[in-house]
Amino acid sequence: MADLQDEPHSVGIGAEDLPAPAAAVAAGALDRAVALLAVHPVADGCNTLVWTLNQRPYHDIETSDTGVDTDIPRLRAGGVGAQFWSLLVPSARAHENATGDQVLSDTLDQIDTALTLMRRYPDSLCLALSADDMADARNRGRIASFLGPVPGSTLTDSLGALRAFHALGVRSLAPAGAPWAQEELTAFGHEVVREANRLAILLDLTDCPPAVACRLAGASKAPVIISNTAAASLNPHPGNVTDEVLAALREANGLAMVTFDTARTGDSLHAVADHLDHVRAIAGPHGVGLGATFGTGPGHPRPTGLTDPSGYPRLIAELLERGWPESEVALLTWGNAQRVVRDAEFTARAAGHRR
Amino acid sequence: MSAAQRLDEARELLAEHPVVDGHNDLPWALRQQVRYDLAQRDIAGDQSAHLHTDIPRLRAGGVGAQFWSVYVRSDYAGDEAVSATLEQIDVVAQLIDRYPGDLVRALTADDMEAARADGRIASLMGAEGGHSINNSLATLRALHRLGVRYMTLTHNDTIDWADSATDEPRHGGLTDFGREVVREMNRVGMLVDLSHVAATTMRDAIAVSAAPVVFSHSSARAVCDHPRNIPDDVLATLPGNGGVAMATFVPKFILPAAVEWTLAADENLRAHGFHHLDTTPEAMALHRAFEAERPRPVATAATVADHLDHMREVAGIDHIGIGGDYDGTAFTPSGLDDVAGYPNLVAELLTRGWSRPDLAKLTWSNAVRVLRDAESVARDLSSSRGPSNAVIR
Repeated sequence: MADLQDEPHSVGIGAEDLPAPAAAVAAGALDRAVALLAVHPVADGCNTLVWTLNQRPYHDIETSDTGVDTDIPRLRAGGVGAQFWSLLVPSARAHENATGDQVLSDTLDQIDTALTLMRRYPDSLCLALSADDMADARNRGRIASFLGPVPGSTLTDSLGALRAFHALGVRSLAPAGAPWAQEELTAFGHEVVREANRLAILLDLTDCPPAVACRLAGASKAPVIISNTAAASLNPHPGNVTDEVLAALREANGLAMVTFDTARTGDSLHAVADHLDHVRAIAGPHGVGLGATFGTGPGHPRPTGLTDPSGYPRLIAELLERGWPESEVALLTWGNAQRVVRDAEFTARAAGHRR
Repeated sequence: MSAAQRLDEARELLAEHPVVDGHNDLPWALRQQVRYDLAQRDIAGDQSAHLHTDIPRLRAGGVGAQFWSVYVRSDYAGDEAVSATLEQIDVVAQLIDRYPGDLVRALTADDMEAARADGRIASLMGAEGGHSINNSLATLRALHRLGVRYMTLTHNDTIDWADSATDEPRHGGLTDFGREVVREMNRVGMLVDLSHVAATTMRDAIAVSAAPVVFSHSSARAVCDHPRNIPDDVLATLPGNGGVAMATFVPKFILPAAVEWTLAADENLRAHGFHHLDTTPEAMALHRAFEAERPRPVATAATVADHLDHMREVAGIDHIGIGGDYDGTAFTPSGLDDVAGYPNLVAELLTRGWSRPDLAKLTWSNAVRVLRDAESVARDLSSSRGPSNAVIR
């Protein structure tokens, strides 16, 4: 399926704003990384800026501020071309509401903040609803902005809210913590999966228990993603993904996106690269992506060299040094994410004829 | 002119100036009766055994635009209320998808005019009660993005920021947050609906609203003294505000004898352990038994016309409309039994000497104008003001 609009025809995103190369990496590799990112920018699976900004409504992301790790200059410098903006509400906040009857409203609030952000920075961010929008945004030098995931716990006994989310632009759903995906995938859970497939909403299995993750990956007709994780066999952190799940993802053409989080990956750029090596080995070159989980306030521990989104070129240089072929690096940064979004759309179109 | 000729004239008038109805509860009826299984209530055909509303009768009634209520019960709160409201919005979208030759989604006054030109029924949505936004202005904006074009500030119960007409007052009208809700509705272009609210809330909302308000289904308190109706002093402010009061047909609000009868019938339902708004078969059977013993006073098109005559006198011909509340009420007036009945009301008004241009304002153009004015206010305000993030402290 050739897509002409996927052919990049401009040099990309913020190449001239790059920070000085880190001494540890050979200048040659960094140059290659920058050149590669200009054509195959980063499509990152997870950034929590929306929640962070919700706590400080007057923050301006057009200028860099040490208070928050994500802003437009650093996204540009890092070669970010597409971003999934997480709309999850931190569990601490959920606990504040003992009755738990605010998750849906909080999520609509997050959607509203994200849409307001896009209206406020139209030269940098543009709402993306499809793989075509992703390619379009790249060609116009904007950061394609996908809304999601939203928490699966917002869906209690009906799919009306899921269709409303879709109508509002949401393209990813996280089942973790939802009553229908606890230890088993319930009958309603299967219905959620079918409806998400029909709407081309990606299922983000981050933080699902391995058994449930495998069930979801098997039940979904469209590829599933894990938007931020690392390899449990290198670091048995509960947020990390087991080889079994990675193999299931490979089977289902899914995508595991590696986080830059000291607790899960270790505290250096090399450690992150080790996780990427492992995920690529088990899930395959078509099953690995990036989901840094930037978008946090100060004090969040980050691997050295990857403290904010401007660090991606250094990581890419490291992978090139390790012998990743450029074609596979291009899959890692952009190609796999775009393919997953496009596959979900194909599945939806096919399902639309049946249901 | 004979009665038959007047009815013909009414139909002819409605063909050109169809009815914009302010309130129809078909979505809730579909939820209650068949849990949204639209195949069981195919409104392309006759559903008179189950519903006041189907497409053939909307056509026979001369309806050109309908605000479908995305009502949820006012004892729902928090996420439950929001979630149910999203389901109601969803079923309206499904209806529009299912009957594209007859229904068309409408978000603006232009959409309404286009639907009329096109011979389809413009389908708009109104939320019924501030409980649907769970004290969140972002949720209000989400409803607007999803197509909701009015919100009734309360339903039957007083909420955290506004007093209802049919509950204990707690705020003396609108709270500060309530006023902010009205301002935000003005900014995004959602009509402020003052049916169901306390008179104090009506006055507060009209005072703060920069856009015309609506009463989506309320009649005149001077004609029938029921709290759901509009006092004359409020009707008299509509010319200054530009709004529209859409007279409702609900007998228990518009016919004094029916008000009394209903109080007794509600008491009877409660005595048997039912909610007084329950419309399950069991509750309806109980209702019918009560009715067999004590005949129910019957309203007619003339009862509604009495209200419209009065509302016209106090608010003026540019500030009245129609909001039947079909499928939201157990009983309807004789002659206005279902959505096919509007020509009988227009015929009654012709008998009373209403001119054709006046009737055109009542049925169509006042309601379209009020939405257009709200859009224009929203364009103005949104260029000077960003979204409000006020919360209740």
